[in-house]
Amino acid sequence: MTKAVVAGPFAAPDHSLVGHPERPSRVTAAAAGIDALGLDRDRIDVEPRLATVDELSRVHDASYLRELEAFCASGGGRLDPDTFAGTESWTAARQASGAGLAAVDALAAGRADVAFVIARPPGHHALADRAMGFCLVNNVAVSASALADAGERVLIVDWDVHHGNGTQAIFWNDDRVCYVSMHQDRFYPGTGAVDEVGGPDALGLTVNIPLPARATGDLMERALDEVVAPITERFAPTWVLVSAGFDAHRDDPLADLALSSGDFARLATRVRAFAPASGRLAFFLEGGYDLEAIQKSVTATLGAIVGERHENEPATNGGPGAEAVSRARSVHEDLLRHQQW
Amino acid sequence: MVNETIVSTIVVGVDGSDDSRRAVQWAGRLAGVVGARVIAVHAVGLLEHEPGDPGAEHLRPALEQWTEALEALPDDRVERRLVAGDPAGAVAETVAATAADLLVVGTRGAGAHGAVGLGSTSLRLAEHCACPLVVVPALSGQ
Repeated sequence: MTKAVVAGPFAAPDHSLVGHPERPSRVTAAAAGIDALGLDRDRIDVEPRLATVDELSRVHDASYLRELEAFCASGGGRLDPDTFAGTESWTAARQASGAGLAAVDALAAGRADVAFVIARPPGHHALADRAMGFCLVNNVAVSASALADAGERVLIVDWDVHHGNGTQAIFWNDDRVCYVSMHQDRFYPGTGAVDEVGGPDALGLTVNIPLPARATGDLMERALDEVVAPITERFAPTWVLVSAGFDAHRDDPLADLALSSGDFARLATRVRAFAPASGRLAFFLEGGYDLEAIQKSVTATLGAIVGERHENEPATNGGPGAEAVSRARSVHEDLLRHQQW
Repeated sequence: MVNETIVSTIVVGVDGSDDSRRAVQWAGRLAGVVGARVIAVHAVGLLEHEPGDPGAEHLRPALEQWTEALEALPDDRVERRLVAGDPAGAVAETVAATAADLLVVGTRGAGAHGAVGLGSTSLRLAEHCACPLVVVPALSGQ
């Protein structure tokens, strides 16, 4: 039987702003999605821990971390038009990153086959030197960097509807980490064009597949099969981390893609195939702002991995975007012919 | 020295704040003197999305209002753009895409705060922008 580590739920109730869509109930919804699987003895709960400043400093500038801590201690406020921080936000950010580290530690210790990190604030927009897009600290990058420093090769698959500009920038020229993003084109944060492919030492290890509004799940599946699978075969990751946002769901209020919960099950199955072995796959909650969609999609995602029977929304197909996938395939086929990493 | 031979395209960042309106006014006056065109850019953030409007055209009327000081210029010398992204990124991208000669921003936008290193769009642009930058100061007492 497949065992799952669940890190969290960590809802960070003191990190909140009235009326803001990035809210504690998102985590409650995700937790309900996992509870719905009824994993019982096949579920191992691990408590989030506080990531240390040294652990965060693997991906963030020390000066930024000092400023963020001081800003929160002084009462906080708006960091940009979208992003807030309060008195407790520094601790919340460290705890969200620590949840990811705890999950990876549990997998590395052989305690389970897969992990799901249910914590907030999310992380993939956070840059080395600043907060952005609801994100203070880049949770998935902190875990990926810890693994890379331990000699691992890490594949990050980001299916949040927004491009993970922070994660991309952090690993832009790092040949130990391959970053793949499938996201809505010409959309916040404005990065993630198909020709953004990585720095000179990691050319082709940044993979962007921007999809047009109303794109359906079959396009993301095709992208994983036709664009990402050949790269993964060459890159040979030893770990797979997923920036699992659920705002590509058709009911999400902050975006315009058209996926269903059933699509996330199919994506999860494909991503699992990229992992070299059991116990080397972890999902990190990123965005997603419709509570019912989060709950159903988390159930579908983890359910697909652990093999629990449950009813998903039917997978979707027929939306626009086939040309975008073909374009990404063409770009990366050319790069693969010339890169050895 | 600013004259029409070296300033033909001005980009101005717009977010609807009082500071941003003063920046628009300043850019418009300069453009009127030197004969430049003005490109007003609003960075469309996460919270401004409306379902079914991926291009954020619902913000167009607000952008027109925030930039009404540019109405004194001929229509063919004014462009208003909605660009997805954070303010610094969207403005810098527009400067690069248009080969602008000058960037104008207000001191503090609608989402800014007092922590210099964390959220100052104008300082970030001063560090990374590819053209000269004018930061129009807030009125005294603000």
